[in-house]
Amino acid sequence: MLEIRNLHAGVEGAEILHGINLTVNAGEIHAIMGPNGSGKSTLAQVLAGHEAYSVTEGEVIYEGQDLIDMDPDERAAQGVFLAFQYPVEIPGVNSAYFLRTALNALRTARDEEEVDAIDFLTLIRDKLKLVEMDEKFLKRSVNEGFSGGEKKRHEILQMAVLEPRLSILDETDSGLDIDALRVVANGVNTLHSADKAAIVVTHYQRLLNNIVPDFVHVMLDGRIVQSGDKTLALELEEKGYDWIKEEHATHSV
Amino acid sequence: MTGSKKNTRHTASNHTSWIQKFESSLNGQPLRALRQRAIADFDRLGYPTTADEAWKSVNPSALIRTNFEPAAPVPLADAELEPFIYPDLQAIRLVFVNGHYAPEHASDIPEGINIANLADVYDHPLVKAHLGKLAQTADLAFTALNTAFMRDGVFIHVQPNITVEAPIHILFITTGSEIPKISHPRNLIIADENSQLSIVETYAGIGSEAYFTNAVTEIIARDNASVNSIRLELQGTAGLHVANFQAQLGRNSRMTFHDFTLGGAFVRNDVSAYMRGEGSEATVNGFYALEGSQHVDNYTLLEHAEPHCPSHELYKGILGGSSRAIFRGKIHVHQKAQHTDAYQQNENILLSDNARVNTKPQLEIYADEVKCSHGATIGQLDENALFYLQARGIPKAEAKRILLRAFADDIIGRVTLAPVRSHLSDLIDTRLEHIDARETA
Ligand SMILES: Nc1ncnc2c1ncn2[C@@H]1O[C@H](COP(=O)(O)OP(=O)(O)OP(=O)(O)O)[C@@H](O)[C@H]1O
Ligand SMILES: [Mg+2]
Repeated sequence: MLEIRNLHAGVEGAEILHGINLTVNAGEIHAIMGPNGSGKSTLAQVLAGHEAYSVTEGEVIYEGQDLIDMDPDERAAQGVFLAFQYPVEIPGVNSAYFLRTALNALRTARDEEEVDAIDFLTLIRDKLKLVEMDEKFLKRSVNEGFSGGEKKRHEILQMAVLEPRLSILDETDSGLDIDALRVVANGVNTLHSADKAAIVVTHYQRLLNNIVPDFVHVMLDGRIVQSGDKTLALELEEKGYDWIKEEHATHSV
Repeated sequence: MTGSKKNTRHTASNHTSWIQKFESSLNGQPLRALRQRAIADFDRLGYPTTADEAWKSVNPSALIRTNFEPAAPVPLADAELEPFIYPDLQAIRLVFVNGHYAPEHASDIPEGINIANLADVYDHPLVKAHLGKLAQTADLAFTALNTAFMRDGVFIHVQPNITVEAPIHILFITTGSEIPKISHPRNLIIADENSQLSIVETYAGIGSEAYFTNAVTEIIARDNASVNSIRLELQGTAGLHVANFQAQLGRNSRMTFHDFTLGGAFVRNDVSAYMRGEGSEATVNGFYALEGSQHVDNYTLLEHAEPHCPSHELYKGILGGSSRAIFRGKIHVHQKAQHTDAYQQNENILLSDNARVNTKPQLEIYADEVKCSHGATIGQLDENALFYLQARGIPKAEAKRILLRAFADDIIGRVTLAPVRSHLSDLIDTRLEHIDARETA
């Protein structure tokens, strides 16, 4: 589904990702872990198409197409979804309008019929149940004044409405209380299927108890330096990153 | 006021001959003393120049050509009026074309309210007593010019304890012609004790020729009165528009004013609320959406003369092309105006590298117990918000429109008259689409 080859990317004047390689197949869940500032969010944003980052080398092939040349909205139409580490507040745009506009934009791009307000309401009520969110959030401006946990649930609500094929969840678990963590994990699991894939960026093993990854990757200084199965996450939880840093330092000398 | 520099291109004798010629075109010599005083003031002031503190950024004498001529009445077909009517608004309507009252377009005026075109009621005791009292001519050249040459406008007097249910829509339309026209609309509105009314002013132009509208509106809200006022400025692309809106508020009275500036080549809005009665409350909000080389100045004054008066002010602007906007928001709190609560905010979005905004709060506070906050922002569209919408599948152009609309809705949404709000909403939608299309072209 997704093939990242030797991806170098960064902001003006500074490279942040120094050659990422990653293959994600349909049905798989990949976890990416790594210390603060190692480039996890940068990778996520590059995959979603943020203009602030430019790709200087390498390629990203998604479903046989070059992703780098697509606008963010085209990527979304192709089924790529990013749950933001820091969801953006949009004053004056209410959540219901935002969600319906997004859904209809995707449907239009796919030559499908738009959903009207009534059908949308039926649909959204269903999705709200999945993430255990109150309907009152629909009337509020997107993310404005939402608590940290509410913002993250709202990201998963969007995922539930838009039904992407490739979901990239950037620290969707941070700031969540125990119940919310269960709700979010349950949401992600429910939405997952054999024809979909997810990349889950997280710092904590506890999320991976609920969303069980097929692969765990460790990112360090803009590179994936170690990959393994779910036991790698347990090992990191126990030992921290120092041993990987040391190993990596010796390797790169 | 500083530097009342005289514009040498206009001589006193010149003005005297103007006014003589003008007066001979009127019936009798209505308000003669007022006009004489005004022309004398204008003689002394001349057109403002950039040496005037309040006109620093623009040289009006370069804009105001000497060959503007008083505009003649022109019959207007209903269809020409149509674009300026609020479709679902059941309003009492008065229409002026090129400054002349057009009774054929007026709606029936219900019993119990005193509404007339001003030229018909120059002798009314309230007109004699109040016209020009609030909008003084000594310092304001354009107000002096208006006062000297005013031909018509609207006079409204709402009796005590009366609520005027239907909004009053006052439309000033200028038609295009080869000879640049000038008109001086003049309105006087008196809301007596405990009365309520809504006024909707529209200033619009048909055609792309140059003309000059120089309007003055005086509003007196007596104790416990409530005045809801909305103004839409839709002048033509070469239209010059100078407007002075002054309101005076009695004890516990309320005045809300929403100003929408969409058209015109050069627009200068002076808006002032003089809170003369304890516990009065003024809300003054504005929105401007500019493109090309439009230049729009908003100079506001919230004058707190008595204790316990809240004032709320929010102006928002969207600028494309090489347009210019100035916002000067003055809050003047008199020494006795304790427990003043004044809020002022000006926010701007620049869609183009060549657009410019100059925003300046001006606080003069002489009381001790005052809550006063102000802020201003000038920036581009929020890139992160744009990306967030795009990442959800919304194409960039639509994402932009959503964000601009949300920005504008903050003002539009405060308009309480639903038919006015929804029509303004449509107008502004079209306008924003147009501005953005020019940016991305
Ligand atoms: N727009 C930007 N401008 C400048 N530097 C940036 C930008 N985005 C990211 N960086 C830098 O790139 C590095 C990687 O940042 P990134 O956000 O990808 O880290 P992360 O792995 O997601 O960290 P965390 O676990 O704290 O979320 C950091 O040093 C960061 O400061
Ligand atoms: Mg991050």
